Amino acid sequence: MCVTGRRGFFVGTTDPDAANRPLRPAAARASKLVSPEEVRGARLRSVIRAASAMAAIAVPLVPAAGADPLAPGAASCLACHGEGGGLPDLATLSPDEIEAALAGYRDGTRAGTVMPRLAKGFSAEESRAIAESLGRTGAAR
Amino acid sequence: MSAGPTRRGLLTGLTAASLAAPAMARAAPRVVVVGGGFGGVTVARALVRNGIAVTLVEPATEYATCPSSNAVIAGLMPLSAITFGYDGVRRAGVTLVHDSVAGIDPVGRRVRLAGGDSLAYDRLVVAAGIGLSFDTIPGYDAAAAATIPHAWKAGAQTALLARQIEAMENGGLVVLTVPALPYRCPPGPYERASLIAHYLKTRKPRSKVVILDAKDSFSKQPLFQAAWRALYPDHLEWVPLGQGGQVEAVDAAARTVRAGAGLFRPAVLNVIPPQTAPTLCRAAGLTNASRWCPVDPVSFESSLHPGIHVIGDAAIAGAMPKSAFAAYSQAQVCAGAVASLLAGRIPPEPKLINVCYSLAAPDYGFSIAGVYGAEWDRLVTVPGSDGLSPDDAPPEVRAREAALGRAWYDGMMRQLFG
Repeated sequence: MCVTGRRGFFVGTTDPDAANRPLRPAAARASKLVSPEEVRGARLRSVIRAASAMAAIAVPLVPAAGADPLAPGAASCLACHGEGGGLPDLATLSPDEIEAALAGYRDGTRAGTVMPRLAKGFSAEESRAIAESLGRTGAAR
Repeated sequence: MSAGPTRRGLLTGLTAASLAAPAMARAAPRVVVVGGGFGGVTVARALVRNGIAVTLVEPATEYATCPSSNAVIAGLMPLSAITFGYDGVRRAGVTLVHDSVAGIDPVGRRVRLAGGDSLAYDRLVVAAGIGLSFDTIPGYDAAAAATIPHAWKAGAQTALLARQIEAMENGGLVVLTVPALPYRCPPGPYERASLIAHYLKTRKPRSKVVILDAKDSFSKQPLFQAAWRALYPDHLEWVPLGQGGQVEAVDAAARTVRAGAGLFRPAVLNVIPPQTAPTLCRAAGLTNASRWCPVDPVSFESSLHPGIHVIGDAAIAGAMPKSAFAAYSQAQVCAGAVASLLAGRIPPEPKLINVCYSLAAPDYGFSIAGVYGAEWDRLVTVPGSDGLSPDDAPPEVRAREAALGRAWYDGMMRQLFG
């Protein structure tokens, strides 16, 4: 019904007007049923968001085949690391090389300016997903 | 549509339908983007790359970037070096309409243009930047800005301030006033003061720049203040709120500014006024009591009007600052969300990055950086990811960050306007 993972979760729908409605109205998430204080962590939040969306759509949910968006955060990387950006073009590196660089920045074994700060914003799993998106064989290619 | 279509299958063939077709009778989604700056151009080009037809509404035929505009003000580069046309955007497949927005009808899903036409949309992205609150400082209105520049929207205002500083005699006083948060580019006023001080030190050494600030603390403060002590002990003075930095009134005819600290009669006066979301956002009911636009942190869809997304400076983006880099990151996320929503999918949980470089001198740069994620109904900083350049970095690291800032800018301009 719903897939999760590095590609996020997707919903297919048989409702032709679904695209014209807000899928996750703020009011649903601001519901008194669950206060922000009770909700910490992306996983639980995702589940609630998905539930809100299901309530809004009220049609069977299926994974959308073929969709392959960039991993969360990857698009922002391209602000500096896109083609011709003057900084290392990540498309020329392998996912393993990018993943190793991010791990080095994160644990302090690799020096840098902004990257030691930014790398701490991503888990090892998220970093791997970004590396796969932006590296030589990734979805951004 | 049938369950589980591929994105390619869904999007292919949908872009040929005419803009005149009635909204529900057509299959191809129509996306309109308002504003041709960092956010608007990025979201328009990203949507086109996803196979979605986009009409971009922007009154100006050229765009001057706020990033690097302080270097123009300080005589380090010409305005032409930060001014770009939209030919590259057009070549990328975006339909450009050079007109002003007269109004937005969120229920009828139409954008009315000043020229009389209107554009129907399935999803609208508003990336209209800021509005200047000319009503908040007595004596400083739109007419006053013709002689006392704000230069907080780049272009003619940037050139005006640059000319005034260049024409000023050695020994003249420059006063720059800074509002309380939130405003576009939190460290921008301090970079501007720094580069003006650099210009004065090298070209008009008996002159000085005074910052009248409505705050007691500011972005990158320890880095700026260390640079000021080292570089501009005689050329820059910061007057915080607690020492009378709040502007009380401006007299445009006399070119004076009154603050708690006293009455100043500078040779050059630069008033950066308080800001809000632009008028068109307020007229469309996209703003709340704060006069900025509340949005969903995952899709950047307005909390007030479904079908309309707001990105960049006009949006309330939680912990993210109002910066060009943030607008770019938000535009990428918003484009993905709009594509998902048009295909009937839930947008994935985003992560966003902001990096902002500032110059204290041409080869003396430093940065603030952060990673952001959605926490309930707002964007929050991922713990540990945010921070400033180190206080004790050697000169070569400052020079390296100055070069990185230039590299970011050059690459960004190629992406946006190339």
